[in-house]
Amino acid sequence: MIFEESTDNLLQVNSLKTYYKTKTGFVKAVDDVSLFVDRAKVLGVAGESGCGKSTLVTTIFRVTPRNAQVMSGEVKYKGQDILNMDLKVFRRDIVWKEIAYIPQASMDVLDPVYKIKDQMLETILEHEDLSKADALERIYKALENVGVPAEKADMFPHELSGGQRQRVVIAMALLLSPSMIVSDEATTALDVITQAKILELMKSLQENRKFSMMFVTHDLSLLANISDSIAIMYAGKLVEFGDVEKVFGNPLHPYTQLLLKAIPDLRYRKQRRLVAIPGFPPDLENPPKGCRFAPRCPLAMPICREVEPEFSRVEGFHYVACHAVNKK
Amino acid sequence: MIEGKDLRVYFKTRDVEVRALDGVSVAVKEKEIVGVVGESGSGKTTLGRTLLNLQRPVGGEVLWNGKNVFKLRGREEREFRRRNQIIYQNPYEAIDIRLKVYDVIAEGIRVHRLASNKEEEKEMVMNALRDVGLNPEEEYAYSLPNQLSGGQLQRVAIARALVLNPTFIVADEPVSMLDMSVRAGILEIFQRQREEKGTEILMITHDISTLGYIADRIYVMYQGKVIEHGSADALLEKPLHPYTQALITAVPIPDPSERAKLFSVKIKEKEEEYNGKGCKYYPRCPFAMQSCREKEPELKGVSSDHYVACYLY
Amino acid sequence: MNKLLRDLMSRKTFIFSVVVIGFFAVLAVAAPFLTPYNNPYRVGQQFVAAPYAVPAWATVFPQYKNLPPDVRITLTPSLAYESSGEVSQLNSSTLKVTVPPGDTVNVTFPLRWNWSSPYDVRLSFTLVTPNTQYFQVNLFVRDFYLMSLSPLPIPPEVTVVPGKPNPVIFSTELVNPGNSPYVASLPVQDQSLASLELPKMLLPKPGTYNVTLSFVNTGKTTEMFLVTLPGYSSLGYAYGRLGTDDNGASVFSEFVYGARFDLYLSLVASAIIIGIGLIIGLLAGYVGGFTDLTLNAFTDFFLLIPGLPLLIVLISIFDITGTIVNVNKAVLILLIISLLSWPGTAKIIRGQTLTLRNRTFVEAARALGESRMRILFKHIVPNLMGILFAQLAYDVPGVILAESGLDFLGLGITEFPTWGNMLGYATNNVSFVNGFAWWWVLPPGLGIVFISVAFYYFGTAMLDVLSPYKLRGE
Repeated sequence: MIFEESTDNLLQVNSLKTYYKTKTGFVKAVDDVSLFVDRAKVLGVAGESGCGKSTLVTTIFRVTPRNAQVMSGEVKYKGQDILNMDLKVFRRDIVWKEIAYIPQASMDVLDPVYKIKDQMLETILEHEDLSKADALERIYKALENVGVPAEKADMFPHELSGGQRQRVVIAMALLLSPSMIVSDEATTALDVITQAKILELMKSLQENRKFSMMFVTHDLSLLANISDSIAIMYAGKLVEFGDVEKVFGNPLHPYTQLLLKAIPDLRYRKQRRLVAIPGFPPDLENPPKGCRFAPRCPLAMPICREVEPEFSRVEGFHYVACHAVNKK
Repeated sequence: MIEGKDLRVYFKTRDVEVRALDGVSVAVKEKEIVGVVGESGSGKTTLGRTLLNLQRPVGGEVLWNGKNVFKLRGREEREFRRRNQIIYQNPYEAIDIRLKVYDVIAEGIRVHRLASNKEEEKEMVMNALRDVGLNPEEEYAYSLPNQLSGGQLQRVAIARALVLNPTFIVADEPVSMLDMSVRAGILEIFQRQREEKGTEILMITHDISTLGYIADRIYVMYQGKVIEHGSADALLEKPLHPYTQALITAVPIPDPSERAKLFSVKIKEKEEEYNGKGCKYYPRCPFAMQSCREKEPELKGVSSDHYVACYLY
Repeated sequence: MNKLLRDLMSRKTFIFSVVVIGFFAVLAVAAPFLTPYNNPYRVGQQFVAAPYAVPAWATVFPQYKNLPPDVRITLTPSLAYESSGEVSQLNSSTLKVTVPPGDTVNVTFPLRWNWSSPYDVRLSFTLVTPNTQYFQVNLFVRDFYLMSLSPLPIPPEVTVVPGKPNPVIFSTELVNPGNSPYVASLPVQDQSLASLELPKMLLPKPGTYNVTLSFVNTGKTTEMFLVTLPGYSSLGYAYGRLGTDDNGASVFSEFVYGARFDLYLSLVASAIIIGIGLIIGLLAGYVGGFTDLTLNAFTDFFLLIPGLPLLIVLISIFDITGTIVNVNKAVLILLIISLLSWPGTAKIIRGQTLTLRNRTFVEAARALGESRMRILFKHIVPNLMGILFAQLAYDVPGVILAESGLDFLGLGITEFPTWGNMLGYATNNVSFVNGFAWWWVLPPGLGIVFISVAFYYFGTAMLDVLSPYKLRGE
């Protein structure tokens, strides 16, 4: 799929299909997803559990479980097909150096038996030919930049608070000055205030250093605050993709519309009631025919249960896969 | 009506004593939904467990219809257990997943001998399943917990509580594990329960925005203390404590034009070391004064339905 | 239940364990039908074949190809005699031999031999001699003058009673200079070796050998001898399913009865271990507090006792007193092993109970108003099922190993075969001469290995299937 709106595209995902092989068939975890991230921009990917957003991330980093299979499609980074690149070259030249990963900093992301600085040293020295002193200097600077005092580098992960651990993980991702950061539920386990502070940090780092970011989360409201474009996934499909103002200001897909009504918003707590989307997400091994959201959709028409809606442009940078919208 | 007075729960780990509850008083009145909000470690879960006599406090008392719940025995204790229920955050943890959904719900009926025969029991279970929106109930009743999604299983956990006709429910983060799209459905059950049966609910959460939709009153906890409480309207529209203010500011608003707000959270980046005697919040408080470092502030009424523990007021 | 089974059957290790355990269980249960020898360590049940006989099926290997099995046949005279008037068939099993005065009649019985030499050679027949003093009956195999029967014996002749039926047995095992002319003719130093050497000389290799009875009439009248067809028998070097041990006892019987005993002992001991462990572990873990402290100290005390040395000492002590008060040694070993092995199990159950007790669903049960007893039996014990099965499965090999170890060292049971005994005796006796008696060592060795592995797999599978919390990877 060619996106006209992509002016300076850094990462492009084209009709990607990643399926998990099971005893009885395939779980279509990522099914025909196309999106892009421009240079120095933030793409937010949102969806509920099981929508395929994590599979998308693991596919990009080529760390999918063994039963996962990329059925078709490609992931291009700076025009290079990174899915078919030699794995060793990919690990050496792309991961960390070009695309870095910020996971949820739960206890197990940082190895509990190594000091912070040793873990960071390893990351640097694996990719760059640097003296240890220079590397350490870079580490201290990186920690200061994320608001962690340099002396914490000598501590073990469990001696830090959750917020500080998350900051360390961010500092680690930025060590090799990558052009792109992928963050997967990076702030999910944090307290609200810490989360706000971490988001503020990530946003300011992103603006200062001009790296691109793919921010994956289940929390749509976060994305409103930090991303430039938004991709909404449902049951392995990309249902809506576009400029952040357009998606929040004029959500087109019924799923997006309902999701926004399900999110508490203190401004409107008296005017609105929270709305639940009826039903439950489908079984991805045997997804419903036609649109996957049709069984839960209040606007579903007969055609929705028969034909898969095409992912198409509405106006400007705003794409949606919905018969109800496409017909207009 | 349930009331906790000056509750104190201290946990000892090797050499440190953690004060999970440090003199907390709460009251849930008739037909009220009361919210308790705080970050992890604030003691909000311990509060819920103490109110239901699942955790013995070292000090304070819990009064249920005027009776001290820690002294209830025999028939009265059973009645207390029946009328006061708890919903946990993780339904997979809170349910013995060896049991079929039917037996999970029937457990309470059997313990309290509420049904005189099998048919009656079955009817009660099926009604409970229908009440929490699990249709068709026959199908759910005979499935195993791990065949259900988190949202469905949380409904089962709620049905297990509701089948006993409780007058008070502690809901400990009942939706925080669940997907956004199913949260509202769960909250609706609680609201309906309050409206139809007058059940009192203590809703514990870290997410103050959810409370804005369903709570009548809100308690804000910080490190084992209630630092502010009042009617939801007063507290949300005019938060007084710097922590409450930060808590509300930090809630992301699903609107790109409101970005500036999220990044205006006022809190100290570099925490001070706590001196052991001042206000628990002064190490992070941007307005900390000398008096804050010397003595912990007491809860003070600024209006009839709004109390705050802060020297600023 | 169905789901449980399906889940189990989808595990290859579980199927393996069921097949192996099933195999040994069938062996143990059907032991009396599989073999007539219920205690091959008893003298009467030994020498069912030559010592160190290889299994019968092993004769497919070239080096064992010519080894003889046990042979038991009735010899028949060569056809040549049918025409002569001197030898005639009285009935199907008796020959009538008429010998003119001063004459000798030889009756030859050809023996078709297809193997290398047997362990021994045994010939038996019943002889009715004329009622006179003037005769002699001689037995030859090939040219060896093995036996001489006469009414007035002068050694090496053997007495027969004239006119009566005399059962006669010749056995290479029993030869000595007093009963065998051939042995008497040997130099003195060779005479004692004759019973070992004779079978090799009589039947050196495959071929047809003559067994000859020679009837001598030294009297003045024609006399008549009656003789039954001689039975030939010999113990072979290839025997049964698993050959024989150093006493010529059936290894298969030992193996089967060993399995029977080992399984029985280990199941009973494991049940006792689990029983004690469950009670102590549950009490400690669920009641907690002072009870936990006391029981834990008690458990630690037992846990820290060095097991094997104590076991040896205890068994030695009880064995001595036991022989006086006549305590069954198997029961003794069972009790001692059980009483020394429960602490590990108790610790594991206590730990599991502790974690279960602190799980949310247990608190939820408390919040529902369930009593402590109800929580214990409705939520704690059922969730321990997986661990219990696993413990049972891990304890069985433990008990088998401990018991086998004792037997191997000769400190345990010696009166009847166990796998440990078999290994112990075997290691004392094997050498390259007997081909390391692999048929004797391997079955109990592999038996212990396979049953241990099988029980381990069984336990692991049950643990997985019965612990829902483990299954979800928590």
